[in-house]
Amino acid sequence: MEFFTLQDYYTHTKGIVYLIMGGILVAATLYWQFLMGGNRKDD
Amino acid sequence: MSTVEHASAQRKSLFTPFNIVAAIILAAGLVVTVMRFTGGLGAVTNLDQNNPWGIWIGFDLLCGVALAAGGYTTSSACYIFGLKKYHAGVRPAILTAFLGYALVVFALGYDVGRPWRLPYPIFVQQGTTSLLFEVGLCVMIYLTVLFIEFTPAAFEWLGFKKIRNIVVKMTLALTIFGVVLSTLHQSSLGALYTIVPSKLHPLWYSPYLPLFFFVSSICAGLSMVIFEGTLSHKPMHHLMDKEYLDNHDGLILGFGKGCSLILFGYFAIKVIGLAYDNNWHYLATGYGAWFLVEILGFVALPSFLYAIGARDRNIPLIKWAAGLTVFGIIVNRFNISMVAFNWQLPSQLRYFPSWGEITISLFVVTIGVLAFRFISTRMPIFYEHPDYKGEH
Repeated sequence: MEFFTLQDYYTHTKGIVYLIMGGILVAATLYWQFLMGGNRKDD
Repeated sequence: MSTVEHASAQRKSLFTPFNIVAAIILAAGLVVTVMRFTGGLGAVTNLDQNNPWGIWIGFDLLCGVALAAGGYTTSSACYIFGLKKYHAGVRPAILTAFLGYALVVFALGYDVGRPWRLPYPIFVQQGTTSLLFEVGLCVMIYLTVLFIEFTPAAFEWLGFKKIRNIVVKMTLALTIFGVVLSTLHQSSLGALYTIVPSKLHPLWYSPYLPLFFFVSSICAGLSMVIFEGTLSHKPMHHLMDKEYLDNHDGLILGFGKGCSLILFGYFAIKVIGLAYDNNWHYLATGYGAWFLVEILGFVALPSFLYAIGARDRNIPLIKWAAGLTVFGIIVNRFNISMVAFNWQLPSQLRYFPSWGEITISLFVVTIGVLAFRFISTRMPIFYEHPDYKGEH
């Protein structure tokens, strides 16, 4: 992807970062549920 | 066993394979030490103007500090977060951290030279605008804090009850101080590399390097406690009391679960760092392949293995994940300080450690292992002293 101004560049990279962060929020919740599942005895 | 037989068994036990290998490494290390301090850096290292920092910084210092993070992670879990079930793991972790930091300073003497001038940057001429000054100051204070945190074991061994009780009362303050200092210097070690954006490969360079170093140090600390516990479990088993052995599996499960989550977070911020600098296209290069090996093989994979191990209460799997994480942290610090450093230089100008440098690194690690063995076989590290049972 070509960037002509600094604003183009930041709009692109920040946009991707926000999308990834949204994905991480969902993934972290699912990962937490996965981690806390399984054979629980005393912890 | 009679006294004569006992003495004979002790004499025999000195010539174990471990002791023989350790003696050879110590002898070689002493020879290289003399060469280093009489002939200078050029006599024993491959360092040059392009590569002024080599394995003595990349391994002895960066890995040493990260892997000694078990001290502040374990003591904060026990004393700040109130997870008293991990109490039996605190003393081995504090001892590992104390020896780790002491050896970092010891190894730094080889790299910097003139070790008698080590106090100068702190007491004579402070370079307050330098990150190295901040790292030096933090390491000096934290080493002192770790020494004080370690002293109750020594005082119990020596029978100094009063002073032992005074130091024990300071535990919470020392733990908080230790966490603050560790947060500062673990991140500052990463911040050191933010000064070289043109020398460090873009996949490893990031304005978030301080954050990466700090978060990865927590994973390193938790994993190192599990790893070190695994290594010492067999040879030190006779020294471990019931409380230590009863809580050992619980500590491994708890730390494994915590480390899985933190590794997940570390993986996430590494991907954010990649996106923030728009470095995706580098992933298709050779360096990109190696970067993917690092973050998939040594971050994502151990995180997943820890999670499976914690879910299934599979202790051996968690121990393997800890070993993989420890190795991964070493790979990461090597990548930043050596592999991805000066990546644009032609191969003949790149750095590879000399035998002298490798010998000194092995020498330092061997001293650490021997000191750990010497102290833990004499002082109450893996067991509670009978006079102070239940006092925590």
